[in-house]
Amino acid sequence: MTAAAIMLVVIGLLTRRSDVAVLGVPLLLTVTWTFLRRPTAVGTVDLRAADHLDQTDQTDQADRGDRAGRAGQAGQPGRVTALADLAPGPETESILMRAAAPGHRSTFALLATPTRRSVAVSMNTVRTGRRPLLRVDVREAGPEHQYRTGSVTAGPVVITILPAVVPLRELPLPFRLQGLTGPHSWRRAGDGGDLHDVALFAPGDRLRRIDWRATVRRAGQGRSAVPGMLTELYVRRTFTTADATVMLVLDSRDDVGPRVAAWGDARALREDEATSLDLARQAAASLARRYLQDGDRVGLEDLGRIRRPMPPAGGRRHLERLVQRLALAQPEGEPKPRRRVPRLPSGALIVVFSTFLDDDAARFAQVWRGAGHRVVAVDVLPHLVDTHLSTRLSAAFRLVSLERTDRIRALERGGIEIVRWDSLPSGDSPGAEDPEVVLVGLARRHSRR
Amino acid sequence: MTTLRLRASEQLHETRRLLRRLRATFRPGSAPDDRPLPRVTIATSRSVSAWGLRLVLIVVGVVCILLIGHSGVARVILGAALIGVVLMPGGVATGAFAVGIGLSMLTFEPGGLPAHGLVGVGPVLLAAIHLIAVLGSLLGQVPLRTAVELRALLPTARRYVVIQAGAQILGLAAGWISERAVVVTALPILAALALVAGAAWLIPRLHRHP
Repeated sequence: MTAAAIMLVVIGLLTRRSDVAVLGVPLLLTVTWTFLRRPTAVGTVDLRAADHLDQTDQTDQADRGDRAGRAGQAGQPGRVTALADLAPGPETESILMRAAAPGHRSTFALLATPTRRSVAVSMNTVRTGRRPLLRVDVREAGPEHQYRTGSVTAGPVVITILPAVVPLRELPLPFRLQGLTGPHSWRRAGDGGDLHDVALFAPGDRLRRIDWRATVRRAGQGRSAVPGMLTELYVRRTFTTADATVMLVLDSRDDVGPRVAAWGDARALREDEATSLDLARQAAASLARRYLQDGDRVGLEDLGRIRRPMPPAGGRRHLERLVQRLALAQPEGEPKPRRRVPRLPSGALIVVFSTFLDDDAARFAQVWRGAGHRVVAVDVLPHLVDTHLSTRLSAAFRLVSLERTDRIRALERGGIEIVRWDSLPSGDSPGAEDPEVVLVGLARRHSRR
Repeated sequence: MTTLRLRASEQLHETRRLLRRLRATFRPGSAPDDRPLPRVTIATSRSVSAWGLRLVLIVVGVVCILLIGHSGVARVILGAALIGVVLMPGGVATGAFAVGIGLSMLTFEPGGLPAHGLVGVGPVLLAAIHLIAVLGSLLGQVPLRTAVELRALLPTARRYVVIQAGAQILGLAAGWISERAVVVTALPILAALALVAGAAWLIPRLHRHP
């Protein structure tokens, strides 16, 4: 601009044309102004996660029992927001911000910066877990962007996205309930609600349990009865109540997306496609929430980490701990082989969340089933897209797929109940059943035994 | 330089994605798994796209060409320069366009520029060239899809109005002196120096924070 301005003035002077020379004057003034007001120091930018995440909001909606919106929300993206706190340096007139996130195209914005300000940067994702997500690059500029400072980068900010929870109605219970009290009726006689039978009063029975109507009705009917006298007391016995112990077993050793062509490259995972681990987190969190709401005790074992399992416990705070642990579960390099089968509480219902792409999870499930546990295997492999595969990859995928099918059939033959937790609603996934319906069927199947 | 490299690599990546999508579209039975990636969102106040500002640049440039380009050759040359301005705003093309307009003005007799109604072409060109230079300078540093906050344009607009006021007065004075045939060789230089001195005095006061 400077050269053009000088040229116009010079041409105007040489040709004695004031109208041409005047054309260069505003350009010269602009250049002078921008030089005098150029930014002299770099400001700061700080990126932090916003206080709320919309995936958690989905959980709240599910808590309200909005069943009409559930199917749509389960696979819908949540919005993740970070706040960029901008503190521009002196003489900065505007800031050019570039916001980037994995699986997203970058966005640019030219922002006015009269003083300090916070700018919300957000992205949509169906993925969960703890990952570095949003990043911003800013460049401060003076008037007309003639003078700019160097680029300052903030982030990526690490954000934990908790899994959205799907509301469930009924869930299967273990073969054997435990404890002396709880939300479920058990087959032993004891203190409970449902009538078991009417029996003779015995030492240890509580007086309030005496059924006076039955006692009067049966007066004088017994072997040692004296007509007209009450010689035997009858009590109403009820089924005892008990609670269930549930162990969630999460197979976090692998994390595969729906596109088979991208299985070898974790960077190729898209933010609008839920991976197997995302589905496993969602399924486990949904089941945990339902069991804990019913008053049962839930624990967690992570097959991807050799450490003590999270012991079964109940309560809302325990649910928060569980969901947090689920969100933090992720593959850590090459998984270490586990020769010993993890020891789980006796009598517990065991729910295994896995893709069953290898033998380990299936082998453990069969061992647990052989030890007398009720085992439910939740298949969390997403609805696969097997296009764009080379001939070799296609053949390899067919082999892996056949092995997986054989593995799941072997589990079924071994008495392990299978639930498929698909990423798509049942209407979009041909042949797939709604996992909620399958779980209700499993819950009622056991109650008929 | 880093920003330029980033922009170039992003453009390359976008082009490759576009080609892959085109190939996938024409391949029978292919799944649409090459759909475009979503964009990150930046919460801005009321904004205008950098595209829109480039359209303004085009309109102003075309108006300039129509006003001053009296011959076909001049229009072609100025049009080529305008295309350069739109494709690479803020670069050499902007200066070339401004100089081209100045040279085209020389083809008219002094004071013989055409007038449209009450508005003379000289003041319009003075405002338009300044606007093209300012917009080009701004747009040369922001990518095509940038959301430009209107508030960010406010200081530029204020500066434009202040400078234009001075320049238009100077232009009128210069025209009046030319008509009176007053021969003062150093007058334009003195006027320009006076303007610069005035600006140097005025600008710090305009930006003084309350």
